[in-house]
Amino acid sequence: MFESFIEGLFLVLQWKSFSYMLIGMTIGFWVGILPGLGGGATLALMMPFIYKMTPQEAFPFLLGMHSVVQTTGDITSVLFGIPGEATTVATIIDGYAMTKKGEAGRALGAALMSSLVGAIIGAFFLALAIPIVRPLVLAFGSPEMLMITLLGMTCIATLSGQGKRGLLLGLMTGGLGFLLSLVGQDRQAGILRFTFGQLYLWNGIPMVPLVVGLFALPEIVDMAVSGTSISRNVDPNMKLGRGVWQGVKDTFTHFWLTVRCSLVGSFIGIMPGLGGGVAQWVSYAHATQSAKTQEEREGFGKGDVRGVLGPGAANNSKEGAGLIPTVAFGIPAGSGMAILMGAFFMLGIVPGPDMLTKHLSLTFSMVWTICISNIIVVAVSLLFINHLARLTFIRGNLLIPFILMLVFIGGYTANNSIGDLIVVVGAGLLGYLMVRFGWPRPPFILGFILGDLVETYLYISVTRYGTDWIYRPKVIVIFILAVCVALYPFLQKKNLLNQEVQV
Amino acid sequence: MKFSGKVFMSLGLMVFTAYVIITALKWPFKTGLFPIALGIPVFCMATAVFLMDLFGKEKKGGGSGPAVDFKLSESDDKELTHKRTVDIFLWILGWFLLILLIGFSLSIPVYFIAFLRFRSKESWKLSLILSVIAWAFFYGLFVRLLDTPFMPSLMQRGLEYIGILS
Repeated sequence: MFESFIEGLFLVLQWKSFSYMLIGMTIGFWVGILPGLGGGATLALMMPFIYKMTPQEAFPFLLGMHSVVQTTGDITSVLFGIPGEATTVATIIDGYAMTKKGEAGRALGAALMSSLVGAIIGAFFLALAIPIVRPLVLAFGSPEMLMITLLGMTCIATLSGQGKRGLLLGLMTGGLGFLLSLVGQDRQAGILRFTFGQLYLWNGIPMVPLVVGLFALPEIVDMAVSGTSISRNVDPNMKLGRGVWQGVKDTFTHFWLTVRCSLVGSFIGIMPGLGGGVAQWVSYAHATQSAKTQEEREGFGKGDVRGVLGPGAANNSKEGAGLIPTVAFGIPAGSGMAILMGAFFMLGIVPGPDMLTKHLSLTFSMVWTICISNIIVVAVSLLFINHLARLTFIRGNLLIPFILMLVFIGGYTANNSIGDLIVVVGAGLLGYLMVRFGWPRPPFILGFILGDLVETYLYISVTRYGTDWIYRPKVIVIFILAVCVALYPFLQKKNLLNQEVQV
Repeated sequence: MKFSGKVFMSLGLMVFTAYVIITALKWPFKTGLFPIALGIPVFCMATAVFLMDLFGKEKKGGGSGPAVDFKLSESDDKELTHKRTVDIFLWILGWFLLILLIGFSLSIPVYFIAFLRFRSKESWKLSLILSVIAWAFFYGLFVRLLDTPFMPSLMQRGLEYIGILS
């Protein structure tokens, strides 16, 4: 096994494979930075280019591209408040707030370094887990997946504001997100729900335009209203990049948080169907729980570096972990992995036990590709971070049309339809009103992401097992875990208040 | 009793969820179950928030902590803030309508020049340079490299209709 591990490294380091990996990384770098262009869609675009490649060349090319997309997606989220990827939205909450305080360099340093740590943990999770994860993935049926999605839903409590009203608003906006996820064709009976006769809505409200509009437009409006640059109230002569090393150090200061969030991302990554949309928010919620005092807890959303580290690490770790079910059992963990599985077949490789025996060195070469490509991209990004951070000093009036262009085109590329633009504008207006009236957006987006999954898993569970699924031991265990996670913020708050009273 | 934007926002959600529930009642059980099961608690919560906003007293520094989310910048001049907010929303909506009317490709330089020159009062030179850069970026990446299919604009359709374009 160790021999195959080393052999995998040498496969990646062959000049042709390495060159293809560099090309893939360069594409992935820009795809990540540009909002709307997703890693999955770009994988699909790259497929025709691998026909003449060997598997040893094709996988570094594809994975080199795919694995760095989340890393650079964080850059756009931090600098401009626009999600570079649909999976880098959570980074905006604290990352963009740090940028506005003049800590763009620190936020970027933290985002990049935590992404690297997350990617490496995810990749090694892949290497270590393959022999042992098989029983876990295969033992999880729809009832267990339903419970895991409910476990994700419990994070709404953490993502809501403090107090009874804060919780009420969080649950309400989570429910609203859930309701919006029901738009489209009902998968069970095929009946159209809330489509208003529009073909565009048959597949539901698309994620990318919704997220881009909801998160980016309120920031643009705020920038226009304040009439300043993004790094408002910050001395333009200040070197923004000087905080980079502080951000890098923050990753190691809060190393266990980064590791825990990476593991959260890895666990969600191996579960087919959940993906980065869920991983980022669950890890963000976990990061907010790391607050030791009430004051610290209230600092989240205003520029706490831990709010950048958590999602940054989870986004990247889920990529490596997502390869586990894809490679070992032929079960794609998400849309990107499903496209990647197409590449396996195009190259004449069948995912499954062969990948753990006959092609083990190729499997390990994937681990190395994820690690090496992320190391290179993070190093390159760190070199240019000062220049990137200086973009936040450009006058808002000059930046707004550029950001708006990226928002419209980013939203439009979801379905190449006018409907995408309407969703962008509608979501932007909703996002602005939510921000203005203190309705939290994170629970809304978590409800939206999980709604479809919960309904699907519930129906499969009921159809397959009737009501017996409730009594399955694993369901009960995960349910108890979900109750504990839901109660944790309240117990934590009580503890914090008690401690403060004692002090 | 205090009518404010907050009150109308929660009232809007109440109306929306009521519509969801009423519509879902007409569907078969399987299809309607989720919208009803979700709609009812959301409606109740929206009603509670509505009543709290309408009759409740604002607690200063207590009751509810801030949401874990971005906050809008605060300004003393409410009128100016309101004016600028409406202004930027109109500019956003304007670009959306411009895209519909003349398409992405043409709307980018037109919007950039209009926004930079007339809204931001930048010089003609800078406005033109930035417009060209934006258009070149759009054309090079999305049209040439990615071959993104862009929808025909209303103007294009109109010209096709009267036979000027084929």
